Amino acid sequence: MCLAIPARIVEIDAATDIAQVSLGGVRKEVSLALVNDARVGDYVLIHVGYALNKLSEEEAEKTLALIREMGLLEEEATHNAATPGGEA
Amino acid sequence: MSDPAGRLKIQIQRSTTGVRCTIRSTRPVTASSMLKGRSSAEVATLLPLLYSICAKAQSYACVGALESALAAAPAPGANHRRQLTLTLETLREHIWRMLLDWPRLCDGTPRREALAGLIAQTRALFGLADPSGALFKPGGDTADFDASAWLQGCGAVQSLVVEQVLGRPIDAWLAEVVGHDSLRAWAESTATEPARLLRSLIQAGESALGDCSVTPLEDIEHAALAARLTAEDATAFVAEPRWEGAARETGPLSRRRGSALIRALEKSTGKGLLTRLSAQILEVAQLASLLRQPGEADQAASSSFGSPEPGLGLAEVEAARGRLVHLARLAADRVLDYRILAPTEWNFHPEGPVAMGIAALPDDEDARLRRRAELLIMAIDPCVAYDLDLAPARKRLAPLAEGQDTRPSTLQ
Repeated sequence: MCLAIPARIVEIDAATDIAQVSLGGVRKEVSLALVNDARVGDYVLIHVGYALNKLSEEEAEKTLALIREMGLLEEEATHNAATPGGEA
Repeated sequence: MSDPAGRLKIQIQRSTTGVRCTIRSTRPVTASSMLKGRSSAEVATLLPLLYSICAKAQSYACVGALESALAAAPAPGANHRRQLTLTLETLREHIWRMLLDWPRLCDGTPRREALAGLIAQTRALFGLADPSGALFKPGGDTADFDASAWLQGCGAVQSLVVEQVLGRPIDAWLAEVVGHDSLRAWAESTATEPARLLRSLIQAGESALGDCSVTPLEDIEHAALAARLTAEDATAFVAEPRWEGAARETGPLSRRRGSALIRALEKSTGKGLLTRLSAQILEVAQLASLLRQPGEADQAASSSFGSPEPGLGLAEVEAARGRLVHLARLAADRVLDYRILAPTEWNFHPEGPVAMGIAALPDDEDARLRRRAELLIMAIDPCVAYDLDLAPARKRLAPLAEGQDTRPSTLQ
C-alpha cells in the first residue's frame, strides 16, 4: 500500500539531475534520473527520493485532493490555498 | 506532515544477549476507508491514482474485489491480460531494486539509464495491454491490441533481463542455476550488478546472515480472511497482522520456496541474505521466461478472488513484495467498507522476518552492523522510506563517548 505523492518541480540542477520539488509547501530534493524531459513547473510523482513520472496538472490535483481527503495533507492544503503555486 | 506515504522506523539495540530490533510504522494503513460511499467505477478509477507504486497489483486486487462483490464476471480474457500486466510490473519493481539499490551496498554502479529504459518500456506495454483504459474497470475490456508491438516490447524487457541481471540467456540460467554450487559459479563468472552483490556476500561469508524462522503466509480460506478483515479490531489487524497467532512473511522467497534452487539454498544457508536475494533473481528469470509464453500461468504468483457472502468481495494478488489483499463490501453499487492488507505490514511486522532477521545478526562494529541490517531490509524491500537507528554499542553506553555517531541513517 504505497502512496506516491505528486509534487511540482520548482528548481532543477542540470549538472546533478536533482530537482527541488514542492510537496504541499514543503521543499524536498528528488533525483530526476528516471524521468525524461522534466521541466520546472511540471508535476512528477515522487517515491523514496526519485521522481517516477510526469503527471498532468489535472491528474496531480485530483490525486492531491484525494490525499487531502484522507487527512494526510491537511496542513499543506491550507498553506497552498493561501499561496497559490506554493513556492514556485 | 511532510511524508504522507509514512515511514518505517527501524531501531537496533544491543544488549548482553545480542541484537534487538524494534519496528514502528507510520504508514497510513486505513486510508482506504475514504473510498466509502463511492461507486465501484469511481473506486476502480481513484485507487490506482493513490497507490501508484504498484498500480497494476492494486488495480487488479481492486477490480477483483469489486467484481466479486458485484457478482460480475470479467470479460473473457480480461483476467489473463490483467495478470500479464501484473507480471510486467513485478519484473519492473524487482529489476528497479537490483539496478538502483543493490549496487549501493556492494560498491557497484547504479544502472540508472538501463532502469529508465525499462520503466519507459513497461509503461508503453501497459498502454498496449489496455488500449481503451478499461481493463481494470469492473467487467474489464479486452479491446484488440497490437500483438506484434507487444511481443517486441516484451522482447526488449527480456533482453534487459539477460544483459543487466542474468548475464546469459534466460532458459540457460534457469537450467544451469539450480543449487548452491551453480549459483556460486554464476555469481563468480558474471559481470551484472546482481551477480556482484551475491559474489560479495559469498566471499564475505555473509550468505546466511539474517536467517529467521518466521513462516510463510499460507493460502487462507476466503471466508476466514474476510471475517478477520471485517472484525471490530480489523484496523489493528491490517496495521500489524498475524495469522493463527504468529507473524508471517510473504514475497518472492515464499513464492519460490518450492523451486529446486531455493530448496537447496534454504538447506545450505537457511532463509538468510543469499536465499532471499536469489529468490528475487529466480523470480525475475521465471517471470521473464513466461513473457514469451503468454498462455502459461505462473502458479507461484497466481491471483484468487471470491465472495464469501453476497455483497462482499475479496481479492488476493501477488504483488512484487508479496500478497496484497483487498476487501470490498458493496450495496446498490456503493462501497460500504473497503480494506487493504499490504505485504509490507506482514514483512515489517515487529515480529516479522525483518525484525527477527536483524535480531539474528551478530553484534559487530556500527558500520558493519548497519550495512548488514540495510542489506536485509533491502532483501525484503519495504517500498517505503525508512529510518534505521543504531543505538550505541553497549560498551560505550556510559559515560557517553564524545562524538559518537548516534545519527539515524535516513533513506528517502
